[in-house]
Amino acid sequence: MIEFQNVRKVYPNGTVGLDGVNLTIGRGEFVVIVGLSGAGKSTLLRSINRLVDITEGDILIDGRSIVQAGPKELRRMRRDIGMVFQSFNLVRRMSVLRNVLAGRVAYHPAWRSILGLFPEADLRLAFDALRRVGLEDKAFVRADQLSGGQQQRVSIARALAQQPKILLADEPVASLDPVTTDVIMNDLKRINRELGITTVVNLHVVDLARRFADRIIGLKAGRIVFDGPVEAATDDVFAEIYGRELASAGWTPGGGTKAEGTPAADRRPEFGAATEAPAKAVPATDRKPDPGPGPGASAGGRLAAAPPPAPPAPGMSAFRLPDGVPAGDPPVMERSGERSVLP
Amino acid sequence: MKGTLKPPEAALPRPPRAYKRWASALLFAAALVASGWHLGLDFGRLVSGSGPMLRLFRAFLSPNWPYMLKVLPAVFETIRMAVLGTTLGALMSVPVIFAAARNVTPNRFVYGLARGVMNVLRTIPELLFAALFVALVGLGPTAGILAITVFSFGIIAKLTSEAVEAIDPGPLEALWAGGASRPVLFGYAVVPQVLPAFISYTLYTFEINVRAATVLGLVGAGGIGVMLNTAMKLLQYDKAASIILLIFAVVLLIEALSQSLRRRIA
Repeated sequence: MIEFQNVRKVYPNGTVGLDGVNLTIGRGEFVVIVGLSGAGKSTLLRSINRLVDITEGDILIDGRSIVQAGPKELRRMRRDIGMVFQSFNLVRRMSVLRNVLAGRVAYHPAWRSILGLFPEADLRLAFDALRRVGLEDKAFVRADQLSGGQQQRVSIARALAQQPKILLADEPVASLDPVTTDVIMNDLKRINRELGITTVVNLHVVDLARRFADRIIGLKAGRIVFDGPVEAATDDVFAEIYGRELASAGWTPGGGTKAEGTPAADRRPEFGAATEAPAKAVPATDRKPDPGPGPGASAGGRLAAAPPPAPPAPGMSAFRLPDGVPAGDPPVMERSGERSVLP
Repeated sequence: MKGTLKPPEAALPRPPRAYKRWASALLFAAALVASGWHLGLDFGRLVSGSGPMLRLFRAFLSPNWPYMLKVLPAVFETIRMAVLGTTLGALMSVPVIFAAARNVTPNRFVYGLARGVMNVLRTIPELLFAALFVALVGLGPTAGILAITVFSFGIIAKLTSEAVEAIDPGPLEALWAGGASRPVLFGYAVVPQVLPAFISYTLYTFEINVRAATVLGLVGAGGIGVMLNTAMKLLQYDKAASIILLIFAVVLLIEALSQSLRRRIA
């Protein structure tokens, strides 16, 4: 659970990044933050893991303040928060596997990570994370040999290797083509549902926000101007978030925002259901591809309703699978110490 | 024909005037002539000195092969000096490389100090260091090795610290966001990014050093230069020519080797 309490951020040059933000994001939610460039999307996202230090207010992660955490405590808390960046941020000269293992460094003493002495359980985790993004066969390839979309999937795998409770994605598809964008967004959404990881994504494309979000938060000049389920985010709402700029950029309300035109080639079967009916306000129950309730999928009353049932016992893996995940998917990626199923 | 480009009727736009360029060229030429005149540059001396030159040239055409074998040990000594000096210099440069990179050394004092040391070292030519160390530790290869060490230290530290400043900060940010500590950022994201540059610059410095090491003998700091100096002083042009030819071959060989290595690293 992420809680913003009267958060305000003023940059040294006087720019107001966030202004009186109060926000609660429940466990397992898939939240998309939309807004113009400079509206404060990145500031909001980066204040969650304190890549940005806020000026006023407090941010609680599962009830603990990350704002007041000391250096060691901060590193502990960051370990549970994975992050995906617009520019992938891989060490391009290193192998894919070593890049994914970078997600494990916070679990070990520095010298072990630097010498690359990861326990076998970590290797299993890394391979499992790669399998989840469909890149296990690229493990020993140098990262700069991969395409942009593949690199972004490696960076998702790196975040997953952290076994995070929260996944932050800062414009994860802004430098990718439309087809690859779909692959990445589907990966994020599938991981959110399969593993119940709370996911917060910054996007600036209205169409994408509509298709993938469960809940949309609109930012304008550092203030939250909209917060609600995707069904409630009408054209008028977007027009409000984006202001006149949207209209002058040739966007027509109700014009369908070219949602249906994506080629099916690279689409993952898991989320076919979600991508087929994008812009329409479909009841959540119809959109669930998997039977049974899971934390991510069951968020029927996403915004107002209480967070999903039965929070896991403390110390349990963030990678526990929600009940009701299709039986064909073996429960792998438990805590690093435990057995893990390799493909 | 529709749609083809037609030459415009009106006058073409003219580029800005080039008189500044002409003035600069003229000024430069004047400075050259003035300098030559002031220093008493006399190409006639080339003609008057043609006697020894011809002898040297003739000697080049018929090198003293047996003598070449005799100087071979000195050639190896020169190469060993370059290897030792470059390696020691590279090792010494490691801490300074990072201290002199602004993005990994936020402390301004440390940064300024490292930069200062590097810049001062690089203003002093290798031969001067050699002369200095001969005075300190006496004649012989030790003085040469020390000179090469200090010289290599300056170049490698300077070039590689610039490579450190040019690394991609993205991976550091990603590790930092994932809870990594500073030593991990350093070992996991900084070092892998600059290691190829470090190795490449060290090899490049080695190339320079082999060439430089041949000259260090002129001030008595060991290597093939000692023999070359002696041969020239005794007017033994055939021997001098043999030595120069040998140096030529060795330098070419080592440069080719090092360059092929560097190409593979890049």
